[in-house]
Amino acid sequence: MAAVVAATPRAGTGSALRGSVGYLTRRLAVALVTVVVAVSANFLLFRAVPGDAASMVKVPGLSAAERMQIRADFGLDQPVGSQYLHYLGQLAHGNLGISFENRKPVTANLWQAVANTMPMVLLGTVFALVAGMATGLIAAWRRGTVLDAGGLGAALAFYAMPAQWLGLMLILLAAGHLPSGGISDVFLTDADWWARTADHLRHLLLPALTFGLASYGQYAVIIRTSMLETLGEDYVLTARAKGFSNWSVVRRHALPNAMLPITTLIAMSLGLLVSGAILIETVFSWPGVGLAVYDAVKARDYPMLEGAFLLLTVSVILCNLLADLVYLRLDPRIRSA
Amino acid sequence: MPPPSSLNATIVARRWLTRLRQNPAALIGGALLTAFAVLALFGPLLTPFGIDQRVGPVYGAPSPAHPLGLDDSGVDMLSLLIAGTRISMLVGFAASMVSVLVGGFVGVTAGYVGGWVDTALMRITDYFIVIPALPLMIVVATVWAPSVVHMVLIIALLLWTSTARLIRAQVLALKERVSVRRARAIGAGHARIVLRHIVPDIVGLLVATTVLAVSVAVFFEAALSFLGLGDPATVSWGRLIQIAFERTAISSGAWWAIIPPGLCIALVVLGSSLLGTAIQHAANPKAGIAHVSSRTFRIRPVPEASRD
Amino acid sequence: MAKGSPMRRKLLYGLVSVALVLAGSACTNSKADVRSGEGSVLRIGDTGSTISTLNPFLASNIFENAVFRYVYPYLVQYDTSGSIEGDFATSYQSTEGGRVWTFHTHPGATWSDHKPLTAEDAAWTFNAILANKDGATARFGSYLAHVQSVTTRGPNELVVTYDKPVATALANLSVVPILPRAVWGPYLSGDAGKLSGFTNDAPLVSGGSFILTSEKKDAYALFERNPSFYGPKPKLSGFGFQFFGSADAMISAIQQGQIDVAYDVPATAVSTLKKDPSLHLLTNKGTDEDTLIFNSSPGQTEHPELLDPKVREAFHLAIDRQKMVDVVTLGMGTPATSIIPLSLQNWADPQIGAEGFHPDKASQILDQLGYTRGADGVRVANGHPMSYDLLEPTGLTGHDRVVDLLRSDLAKIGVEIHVRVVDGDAFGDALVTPSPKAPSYDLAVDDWISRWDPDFMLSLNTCGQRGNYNEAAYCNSHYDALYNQQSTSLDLAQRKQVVDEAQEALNRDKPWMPLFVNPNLIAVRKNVHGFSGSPFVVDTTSRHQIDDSWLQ
Repeated sequence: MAAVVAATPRAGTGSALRGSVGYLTRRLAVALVTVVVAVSANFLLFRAVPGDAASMVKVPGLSAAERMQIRADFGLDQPVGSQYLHYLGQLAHGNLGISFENRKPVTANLWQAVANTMPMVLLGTVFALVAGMATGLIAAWRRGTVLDAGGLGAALAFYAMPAQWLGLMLILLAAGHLPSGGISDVFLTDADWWARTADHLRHLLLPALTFGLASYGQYAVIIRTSMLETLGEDYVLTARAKGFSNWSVVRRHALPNAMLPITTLIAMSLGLLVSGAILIETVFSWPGVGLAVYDAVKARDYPMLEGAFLLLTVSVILCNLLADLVYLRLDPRIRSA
Repeated sequence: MPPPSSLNATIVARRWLTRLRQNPAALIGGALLTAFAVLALFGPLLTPFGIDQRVGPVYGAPSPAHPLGLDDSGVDMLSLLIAGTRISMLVGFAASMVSVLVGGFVGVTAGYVGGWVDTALMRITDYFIVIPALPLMIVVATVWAPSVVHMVLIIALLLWTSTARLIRAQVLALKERVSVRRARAIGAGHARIVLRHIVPDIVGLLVATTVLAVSVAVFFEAALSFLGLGDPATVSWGRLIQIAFERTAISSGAWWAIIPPGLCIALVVLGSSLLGTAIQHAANPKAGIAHVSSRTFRIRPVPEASRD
Repeated sequence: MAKGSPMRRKLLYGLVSVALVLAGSACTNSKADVRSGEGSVLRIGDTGSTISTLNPFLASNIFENAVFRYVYPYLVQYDTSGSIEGDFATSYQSTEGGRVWTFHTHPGATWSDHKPLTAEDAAWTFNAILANKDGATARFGSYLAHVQSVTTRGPNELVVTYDKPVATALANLSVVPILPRAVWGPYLSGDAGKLSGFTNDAPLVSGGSFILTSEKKDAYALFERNPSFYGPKPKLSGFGFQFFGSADAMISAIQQGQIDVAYDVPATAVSTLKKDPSLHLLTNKGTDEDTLIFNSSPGQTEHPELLDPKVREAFHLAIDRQKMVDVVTLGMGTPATSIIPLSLQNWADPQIGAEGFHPDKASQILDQLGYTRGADGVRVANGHPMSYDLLEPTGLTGHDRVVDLLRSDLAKIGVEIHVRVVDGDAFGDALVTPSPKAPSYDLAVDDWISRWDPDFMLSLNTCGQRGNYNEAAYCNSHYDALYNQQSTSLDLAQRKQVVDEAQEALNRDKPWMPLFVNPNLIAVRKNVHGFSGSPFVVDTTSRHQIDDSWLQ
């Protein structure tokens, strides 16, 4: 029963360790295979798109001769097989190609986009965690009361709302007191650090809040379920009989057990955070990865799309692997097997 | 524990219904879905005005004649909303059914046949799970001309994976049951085994997944329409939100053009989530759906590690 | 994650501090007071446009042209009433009946990198364009049509010789920027093979009234006053464009004082903005026309009835333009029936194309052609239903409504429309591929912004513009002859007559069917002075719009 208290760092017995390592290796192998499949499928996806190859190239007002030139430059006139090998070779060097749209390296564009998205989704996740934990804790603790039904109901209700609609609603509510687009005021070039940061935060607030409200439901449900499970356990009843305060019971037993599914959930959500933000980024014109993908699709900017898809796919695979690792680490049932 | 396959279908159904009736979440969910389904079916008879009919000024405010006001071309919002119900519900249910059929087929095949077929199918499924859903849908929707049928297929394209994995896990467990082994031992054909011993026991899961998938499908429809990839000739809730966004409903103060469609989506999603989860618990109290994640567009099973 | 109390307490403190910072920043509203008056930078917002490229040879967006207008010297420009005036050229005259133009340029001018700016720069630029005018520099080649030679007589005198007198000489020269040789030399020499790959990133070596200091695609472009500008110094110390992804965000920004000017205000926001006491709303009769385009290339063999002028006439009569104006522009626009909009008073003729709204007559025409309605109400022509593909480009506000109205108007006469929304560039590609490739569309909707001189809009339907701007792939030698005639008619009255004839010719064949003109709505904060609206969305015909403004 002591094994219930998770996350005490210690090595398992020899066989448990070997079991863990075996499991890890298997998961790693699967992840690698998935990555290879993803890379290849990625490549095929964007070369197999129907339509004249010349129409793939988007530069405004280009003449036919210029388009042929660009096709040659980007190697689009080669047979697919050699294009694939070329692609793999470039990938090995970390080169994701040059964007058709602004002629800059895809890696640089993506890096900028990720740097823009991260603060928004991270702050949003913080909001979601705080709100989710509070709701879940209260709901589980006061199970069966109005607080439980109300809290859970509100969480589920928000979770059911489309993110873009939630964003528009928040803009309506903020009624002109907060900026509703962009990541900063572009004209604040010679303002001091504090003014610029305050400006960034003002722009960050609504999108992050939208993200948080839209996703806190899942955390609330998980915390509540996990806490209910733990609170029903024998040792908890024992602890309470022994006189431990409610809060210390929650803190010492229920919360750590809830951490397991929560952390797994966070790890898996991280991988999907980015694609989930497309709608919010569109509403708030937030120049992050989501909007970059959407713009790249509209502009038929295939190198950008390939790079973005690869980034998103690999990050999901990695985060799922991370989730499995965390689960392995924290789940007592597996470790002591 | 899954009910023995020899049990009468009506008895099983009745058992589910009893469990469901006792579950308030199921009742709420069922009520919501039924209400919207009725609205979708009888919609055209109920719309007070035509959706091509200009009855007032641009973004006219709500009034007794037009309780939800007018949109940006002077058309009655309530009529638009009812018309949108039809398309949104249609896409939602159609996409969900297609995805569950495909996913169910893949899951049963992978689980039952096993071996390299299983591995291959699961790797393909894995790929579809990790590829970013909405971006892929955007790519496909941009290349394919937008229409309701295409929208259904595009959404189903990515929704089948969760069903596949769930069904496969269930089939793997069922395959080892005594009744199945006995049937194999006496030389029953595969089809017969699948149809008589396996499918009846996954029906609960299939129904639950279908209902759950509706929420995800409606979400996706709203997302694709919002990004301008829906069928421009049809009115759906997602499209109404898109139009409000592009035609500056907020700056015009026309909250009635924004709130109702989103509210409808939220209610349908909520309803199907509640009902779907309840059905799953009623049919299979110990089964492996952890929760529905319509936010991240996945029906997420309990992580691999703890299930095998 | 949290195990014991210290960790959780730290987390709590962290969250509380973040919350405080957020709350504090939300309360700061230092925007409006900090900016106006101090450092006087004019902040301009727009929605629906963006700057994709800073290479004039690849540019097509109006904001890109605006960048070039303020940053590069031009020989001449327009004044605010539509007449030509000098820019880099202080004076100019034509001799030999208009065949030879001599320009006297500002002496002692320099580029922003302090290299001398003389008539030789102009000559070099023009000759470089002429050298590849059928290849890499074709974008500007047409503006130098009929130019025989460009020479200089000393550092301040430029001589442009034409092979015949051209009425549009100054109008065309007003849109050709003079480029710094130091930067552009390598890209314009030889066959200019590297020209299309040159991104010309900010900061730009400038010769105009402002220097482009920084630019970020889809975000902003910032300018600083150019101290070495040869002309009258602007009062502003700088200005900037900010591109908003949504009109709501832009309107919210101007109401909160985050920007001073908002272009492209949608008609639906007008009533809200009018109620705002801190804003002025400038309304101009615009030149931005929404047009229905018919695929007129010989490759259009699938629906030959669409090539029939009678069928097009039926379409013309069936479209309720006034309703479009009412719904899309809330009555602030005007119906349009010719490609020269009425706001160009010197050249427009309201009679052309004014056949009116007569859907019954339209039905009659189709009945007489024998196109009877099927069971579903859609007529059948040449053995197939009259059901057509209409291409609509994304990113152009309000178009959805236009297309909706078109569809319902045409449905009433038994014609069915399927709308295909494509992104702007796929749209361009679909429309301008050379006719042998048979553009695969039947109809399209687009909008075009005219210029002061009608030559530009008339040129769009010439045979030479196929593969470039000729979206209908229309080619008619009679029309081409009229076009050439008007561009070489020096006598104004005579030219007007030929321009009318050209419009009539287009009205007969109707490759383009104008629908209505969008109003030009600009919101301006009351502390902005000297800012004049113009018939063009953003005035790219001269520097006046920004050079003449100042902030109080």
